Amino acid sequence: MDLNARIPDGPLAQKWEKHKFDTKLVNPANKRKYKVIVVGTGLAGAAAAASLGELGYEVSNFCFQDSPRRAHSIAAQGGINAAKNYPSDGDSVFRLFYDTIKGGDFRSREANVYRLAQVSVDIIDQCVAQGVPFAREYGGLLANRSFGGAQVSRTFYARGQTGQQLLLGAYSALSRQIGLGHVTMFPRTEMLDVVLIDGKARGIVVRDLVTGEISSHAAEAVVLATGGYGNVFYLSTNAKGSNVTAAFRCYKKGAGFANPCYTQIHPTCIPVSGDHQSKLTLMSESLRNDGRVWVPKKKGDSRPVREIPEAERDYYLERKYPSFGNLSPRDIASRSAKEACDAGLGVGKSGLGVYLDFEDAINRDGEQTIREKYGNLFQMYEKITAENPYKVPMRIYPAVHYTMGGLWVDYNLMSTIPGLHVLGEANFSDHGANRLGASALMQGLADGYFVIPHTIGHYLASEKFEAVDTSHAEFKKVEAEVNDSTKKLLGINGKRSVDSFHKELGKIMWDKCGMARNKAGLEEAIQKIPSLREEFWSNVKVLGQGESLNQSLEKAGRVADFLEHGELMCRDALKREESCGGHFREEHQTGDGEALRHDNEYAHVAVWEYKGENNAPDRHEETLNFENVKLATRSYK
Amino acid sequence: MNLTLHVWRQNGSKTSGKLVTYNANNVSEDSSFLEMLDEVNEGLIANDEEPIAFDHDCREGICGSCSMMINGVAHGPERHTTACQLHMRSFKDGDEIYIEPWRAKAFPIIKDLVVDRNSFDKVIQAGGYVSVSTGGVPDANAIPIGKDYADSAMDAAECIGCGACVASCKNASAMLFVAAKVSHLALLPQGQPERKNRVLNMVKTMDDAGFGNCTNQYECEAACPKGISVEFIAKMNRDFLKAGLASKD
Amino acid sequence: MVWIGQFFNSSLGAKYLMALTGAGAYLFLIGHILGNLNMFLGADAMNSYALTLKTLPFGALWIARIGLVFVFGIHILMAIKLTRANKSARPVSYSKPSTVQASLASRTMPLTGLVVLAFLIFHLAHFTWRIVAYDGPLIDTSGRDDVYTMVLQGFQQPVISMFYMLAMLLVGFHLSHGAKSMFQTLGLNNKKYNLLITTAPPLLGWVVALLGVSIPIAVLVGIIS
Repeated sequence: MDLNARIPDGPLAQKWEKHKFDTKLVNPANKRKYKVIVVGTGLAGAAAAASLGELGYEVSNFCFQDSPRRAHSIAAQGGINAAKNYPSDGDSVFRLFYDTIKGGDFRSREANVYRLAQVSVDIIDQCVAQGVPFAREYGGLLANRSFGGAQVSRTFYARGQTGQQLLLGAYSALSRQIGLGHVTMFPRTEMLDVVLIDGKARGIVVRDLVTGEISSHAAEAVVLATGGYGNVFYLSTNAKGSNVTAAFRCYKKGAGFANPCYTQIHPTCIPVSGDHQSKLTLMSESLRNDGRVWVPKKKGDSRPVREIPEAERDYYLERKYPSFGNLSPRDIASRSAKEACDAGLGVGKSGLGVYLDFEDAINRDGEQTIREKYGNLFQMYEKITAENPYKVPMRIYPAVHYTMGGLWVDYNLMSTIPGLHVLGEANFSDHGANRLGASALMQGLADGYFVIPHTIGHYLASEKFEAVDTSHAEFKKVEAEVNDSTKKLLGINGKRSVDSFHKELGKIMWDKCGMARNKAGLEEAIQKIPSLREEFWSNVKVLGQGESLNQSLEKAGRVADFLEHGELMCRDALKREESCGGHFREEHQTGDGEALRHDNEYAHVAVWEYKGENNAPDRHEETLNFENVKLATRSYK
Repeated sequence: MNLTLHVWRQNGSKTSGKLVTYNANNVSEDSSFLEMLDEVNEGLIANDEEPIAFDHDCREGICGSCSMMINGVAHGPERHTTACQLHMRSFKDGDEIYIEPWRAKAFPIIKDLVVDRNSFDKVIQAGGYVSVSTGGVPDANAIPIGKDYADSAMDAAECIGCGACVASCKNASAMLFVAAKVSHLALLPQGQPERKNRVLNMVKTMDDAGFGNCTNQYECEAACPKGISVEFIAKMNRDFLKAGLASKD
Repeated sequence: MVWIGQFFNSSLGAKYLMALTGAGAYLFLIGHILGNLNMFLGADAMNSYALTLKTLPFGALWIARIGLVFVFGIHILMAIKLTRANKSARPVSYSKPSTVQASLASRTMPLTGLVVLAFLIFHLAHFTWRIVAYDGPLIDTSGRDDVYTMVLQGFQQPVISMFYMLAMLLVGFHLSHGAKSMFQTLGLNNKKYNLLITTAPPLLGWVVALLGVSIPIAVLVGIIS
């Protein structure tokens, strides 16, 4: 597997400029002769499709939702980072770069992260020009806030709906290109496989979710922007439709899958309320600015919460991390909540929850001030739980939120399959082992607006393409495979629903490959998942037909891939014998329970290569070279 | 709690549909409306009946996928709440609940509760953007925007495009949606150069899609999960009037 | 000039016409009823008022009449056009419809409009064309057209009076939505003035309608005789 990252030479700060100059260009008049397929319409996908359409490429854009505007980027609340340094508080491109590398626990590629920090400033300009209504000060200039424990205020936001507004911006640019005929949009269309001809990605096979028709689309390059795989856990903050299928099928066709075990567990979500639960809801991290996290000191304390005296409460984050306290990074806050609940101190009916208490803040600043800051979040919490957080503390528990792992890409965002480019959460490139708050939006838009439009031109200009259309035998072969697999799912006619398998897989993943992992648990999961998979393929019940809208069939295909991908995650977690960021191996911790990295052996990207249905995948390594930062131990004490 | 549901079942856009009665038993009051439907669907699957198709995705009230009339009210009885955020504690044991799809000529039914809202995308494609391409734009702080204008633009931009306004309107009019989109950009300096053509083209596309006309009854505002104000409809009316009379062609 | 047709054929253009003609009819109604209050001042006042209207310079009466035909004609045409479009925008109605906040008046505009139209035709046939329930010619002692007696005789028939009263109440009801709706349609919606806009014009509509009702009542109970 060729894992040459193709990082340009030269000093860090000049790599991207130099690279843009060194890359080949496509003549403007020739651009329309190149077809590009973009899968996904989130921040990365919509930005890429719009930008490529503007440049003159003939773009086809696909999404499984009914409209490109509904991609799950829309749900991001907090904000987007950019090294604008408008507040003049010491921020810079280098600081954003450094914070991102450090936040990722030194498991990401320097050159990519530096480029991300560089183009972050252009993103804000672009979005403002599109009419994104960012929050502003009274003087009319843009407002910034500090987010996720950052020491500078570099986060731009639009109320609690930053993702929505950025996505609508990208969607509007995309809509303009659709209206002009430069982009052809295929909503309610799901990519089910990639087609390789002479080793290059030359198209995809899709299913029209309304008619059930399986068809092919040919192109000179394919861009995947299909998001993350958090739904492997069944319960997550992802949208119900979010899935790994597109990325996983590319993996099966030869694309390396990097660091699949890196998942981010967000500490402030509303706890599970029962078996009926279908997804988890995130409460913005900003709540930890004023809320204090605690559990009762006594096990099984059944007193009403307000009757538990101060002395009998354990404010464990403040106790363990006196300098960062309640603002400790996501991975640390999550793991501490789990520890408290594992020790039997959890609150709520399920015992899987901790208090996030605003009593002190309300006494200090007044209810009105708290209402102004968090009113909409408090309202949302009350809507879901029927508890009033002005009167009783919120109950929170960690939930799967983001996956840092993804398809391996080089500096040009191209996977190990030539022509297959991967953007946004679907790739692995920028967040290492842990993502900082307000950085996901930044990466999606950086990849879509500012990176891929340059790098894809280089690929197209460098390669010779034989004329290929969808009548090519390879397309017909893959179409037949997809058809067969659809028919197979419909024909099993077993006893168990798709969801029941998904829930069972999710439980295995959460228990064995969740916030804390150990060798025995991971080995157990690697045993259990294949037998669950086997049962799925012999006992799943998918009703209805393939030739119409069939939501069970859609889910079945996605769960089938999760059943393989989950195993891959466990394998990756088992092989990474260290703790870093979101990956905490119980065997590798310091005396006081903190994550222990092993930089000598594991300062690399683990890249997995598919080896066929009944074979274990191969693990490859891309060594990470740190020339501009010194590897340090994160400390938040 | 136990409930009786009357759910619209329709196999495809060309077939006719009907209300079918189901029992939802032992529903937890902590579950969301869609989770209640999930459980009903699990029961249907167990009985070899095809599950009820309904659009949903984020289930946190922002993607705008979910779309159902619950007892004749878009997204159900709670104000400023999408169906996915509606919880069963809003109902009581023994309730009968009618569940129907959005009904409008411009939103043809695909299956059961799933409708095609592509006409909304068409409206945006007709002008719901600022014509700037990637790169080459001025610095974000080059044009100050008064906080009141920015806030007001944000009030309009909060629209999640779910279509509840159309569904609840007695005339199946899309005016609240289109007005929110037109006003968001009309309130910002970036939206000024194309302001006149934008409103003319978007309204024309809206008309062509077969939506009804506004009769100022404001059912849309009551149904809107984001509480978008009908003030924006007045604003669009003003803009269209000016543009229609003052544009050069 | 094609643009004029296109503009007013659009959904919003048709609504502007609806609002503008509605405003015209509303203003006419106010003037008409206020003028008719001359009935309370006696035969001389009423008949001289009627004569003044007839003898306005520059053929103003006819200009006004033609204007009114246009106002009502366009209002009716647009109502038909918009209502038909509205009906076709939802070919299948809800099995269990429900209303959250739309007023009864707003939901019955086509119906109340239709009844008022029927009344209007009767009213014209009665007092303008004088082909229904008119027992004339009536000339007063000064040789003027005796409008006062005509109205008196008309309203002394309870069935006709009741129809007039019902119609005036429906006009008030129609205006309780229409008189504020036209501001919204023409884009006049501003938080600062909304309370005024949404209350004063409908209220004035009700006052005028009730004044209209007061004339047949006064005749029936004998205040005007």
